[in-house]
Amino acid sequence: MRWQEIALRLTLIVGLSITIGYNVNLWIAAPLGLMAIAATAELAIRPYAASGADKLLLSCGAVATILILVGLGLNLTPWGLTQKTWTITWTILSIGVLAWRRKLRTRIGWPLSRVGLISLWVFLASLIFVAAGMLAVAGVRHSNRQPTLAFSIVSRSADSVVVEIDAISIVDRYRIVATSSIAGARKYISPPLIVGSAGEGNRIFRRVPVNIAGVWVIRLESADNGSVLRWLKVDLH
Amino acid sequence: MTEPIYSLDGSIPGHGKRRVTGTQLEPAVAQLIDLSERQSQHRRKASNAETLELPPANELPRTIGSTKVAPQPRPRTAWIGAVLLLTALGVLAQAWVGYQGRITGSFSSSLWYLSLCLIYVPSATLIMSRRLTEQARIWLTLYMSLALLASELVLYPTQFTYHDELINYRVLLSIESSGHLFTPNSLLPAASDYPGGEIATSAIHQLTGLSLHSAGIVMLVAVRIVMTLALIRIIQRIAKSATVGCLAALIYATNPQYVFFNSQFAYQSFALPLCFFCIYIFTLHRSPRRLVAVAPSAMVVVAVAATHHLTSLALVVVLSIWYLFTRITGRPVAQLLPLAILSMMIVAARAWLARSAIGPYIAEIAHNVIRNIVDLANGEANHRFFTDHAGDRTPAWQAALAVASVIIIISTLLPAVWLAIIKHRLLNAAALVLLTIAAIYPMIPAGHFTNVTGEVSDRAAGFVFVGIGYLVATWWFRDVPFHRHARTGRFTVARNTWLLILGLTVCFVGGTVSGSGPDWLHGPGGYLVSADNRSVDQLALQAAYWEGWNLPANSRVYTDRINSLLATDYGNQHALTSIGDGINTQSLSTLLLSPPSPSDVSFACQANVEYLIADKRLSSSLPHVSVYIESGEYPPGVRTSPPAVSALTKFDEIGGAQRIFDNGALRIYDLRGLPCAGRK
Repeated sequence: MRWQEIALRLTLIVGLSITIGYNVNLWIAAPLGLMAIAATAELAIRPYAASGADKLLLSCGAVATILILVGLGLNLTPWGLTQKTWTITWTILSIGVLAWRRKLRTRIGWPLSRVGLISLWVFLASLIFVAAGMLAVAGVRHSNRQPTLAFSIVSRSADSVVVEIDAISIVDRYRIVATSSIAGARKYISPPLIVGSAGEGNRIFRRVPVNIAGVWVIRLESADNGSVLRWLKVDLH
Repeated sequence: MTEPIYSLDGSIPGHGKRRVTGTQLEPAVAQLIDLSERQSQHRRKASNAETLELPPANELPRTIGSTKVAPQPRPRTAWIGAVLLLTALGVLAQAWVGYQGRITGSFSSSLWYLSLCLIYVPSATLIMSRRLTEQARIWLTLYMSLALLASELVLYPTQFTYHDELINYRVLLSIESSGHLFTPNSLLPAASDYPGGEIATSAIHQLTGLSLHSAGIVMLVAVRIVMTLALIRIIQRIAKSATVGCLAALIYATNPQYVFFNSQFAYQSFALPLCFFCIYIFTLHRSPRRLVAVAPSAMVVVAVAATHHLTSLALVVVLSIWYLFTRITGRPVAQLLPLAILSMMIVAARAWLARSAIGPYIAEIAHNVIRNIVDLANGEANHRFFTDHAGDRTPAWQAALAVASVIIIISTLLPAVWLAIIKHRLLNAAALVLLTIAAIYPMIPAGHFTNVTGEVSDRAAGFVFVGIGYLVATWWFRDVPFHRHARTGRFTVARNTWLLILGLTVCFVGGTVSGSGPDWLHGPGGYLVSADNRSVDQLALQAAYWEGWNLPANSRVYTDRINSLLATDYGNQHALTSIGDGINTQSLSTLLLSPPSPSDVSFACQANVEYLIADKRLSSSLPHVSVYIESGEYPPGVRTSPPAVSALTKFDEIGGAQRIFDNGALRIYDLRGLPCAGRK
């Protein structure tokens, strides 16, 4: 193996460790990580593969198998399967493969040097796949903007309850009303709350004061017409 | 480019002991040398334990001059380009169908099937035409299978939503949070004992920084590559033709599990390809005399055994039957027995370690299967063909295609099996294994007479269609061992490519209809009651995320089937199930499904339920997947109407229960204050 190739492969291996260790941007870390894994796998299986399809098959199968076996092994260690243990193990494994296959040589060249007519079709098909992915994600974003209004109790103490309003794609005015049938209980009515979330979620927390222990009903009402939209029941000891 | 010529013992020119310099000679000459070597090798077979069996010399292909040695055609780039684009457009159409499902709330199944055909049919047509080299055929088959996978991924591109996916996602989340394997999983305890797929996904996530979902997709793509190419190569080695391998892969894609179930992030999706991979690399070994040659295969067996129980068991069965057939045929395969024994030991050891989880799981399946069969025998089965439990019917055209696919498969399988039986002396042990596997096909459609057996038999399709793929493909091409039937006769039909494509298309659509369930299961749309993916909507997710933020981790929650999954995955809660916690489903399900009763509090106390999640929408229809919660739920017998709203909201009126979350559809009750005897 030429020193240039060794240097390039070592750069990939070390690069993978660095990108993980320093939380490098996903758009750099993910391709680099996948490339490093693929390069190690391809080098390991190369003598057994007679064609490109065999290389792909053996690489994918070997990676899946080795990752499972390494994971089973890491589970036996006190540290388990963490980012550090995976990185260290994979780095050792990659360097081991590099040493094992040191006699193999690779012709390294830019993929563009082998561009043919078929590449154009592949490129066009890839564009369509990207468009399909973008369309699919756009659909999910639309779903995520469906109007929802949740009212919930987040915490409670002897003299107050913290409630949360979680609204998506809702713009309205509300008020919080807390009542109890216990003698001496003082009704609480909050000032109007304006909830405005055009698309993204809007979470509002409010402290509802209560003056007596017992069962309280806390309602979320429309500030405009007083209709009860959501209600909760809490028992304060 | 000339495809390497594989022999049955797995050696290839330049890699095995027979270093035929095929690349240095004219292909025809190299082929003839190879042919003569095979003949001489066959004569030596009795004394040579290293080789797999070969057909007798007089049975070797007579058509070798026309089909094997013919110069490879130059690939027609325009045709390939057109098919690449059409296939990609099929995926785009799938994304459009999913997008429309989310916007309008109704999922167009007709368009879904049409776009699947746009992926499958042009590729199949070109693969089976004479316009491609064998290499191009293999790559195009792989491209088609990946496009079919992509067609499912674009429907739910950002999260896992199906039942099995959410169960396996829980296992993945447990690995991430604890750093260790085998943490308890109440949804399906067996899943956490077989975490192979999740280990690999977790590794990709950790090594690349991809999200868990994206890492899962990377692994699904990797194993789809393994499955497709390993299948082609295995069949190619047995049939000695990559074209037969590609047709077998096309036939395999018609299996009911292929499009839908095998594209999910579930343990069988990982185990099945690894199973094929194990067989593939077993045939790769270069020094079969040495026992160490089985080491790579044994490593894959360990991976399979750590991934899925039934698949690993099936692998052991296949290896054992293969060995048995080598004994019967008197043609030994080197190191097959050690591998079979080693596999048996590995799988048995894994099953023993996981016995507490898989024992009840398998027992429950067996119990349900027997109960369904008994009900069927007694005429008490409530199963209706092509109708889900809420009464939604599969369109007639889909039902017709499903039936047609079964008829086509049986009508091609019958002459192929019959011919293989007649010519069984020509079959090697590996081919006999595939023949045996193919012959159990009728079990798959027959299984659909009841719900549970249908599910079980469909799972077997992943194996059975390997046999069908091989047998039908060799029968179609009159390849080894049917090469003496080159002319159309009693057992063969005219080889018309369009007839083949038509049959494949019908089987592909029909198989998908019967294996991927009712229309609503295929993709996004409006909310449906107890309908897996269609019940995972914004409201259910909002509640689940809220649980994760506000409830103590691993609190004991009780809820319906879908909200159990979401509470466990996104809410980090412990959902109570009969299989995971041994609860009495019939009594506990009354908390959600029966009208208010004095026993409600005692049932909740007995099971120590801390939180109850009630989805009011359950009262709007019967469940689409047979149960609201799980098998054995209230009421016993056949449910004819949904529960009343008052059943789902009765804890509003029960003292000690607090209503702590309300989003209009879902309510979460804190039951820790119930007046339970012995509770402070």
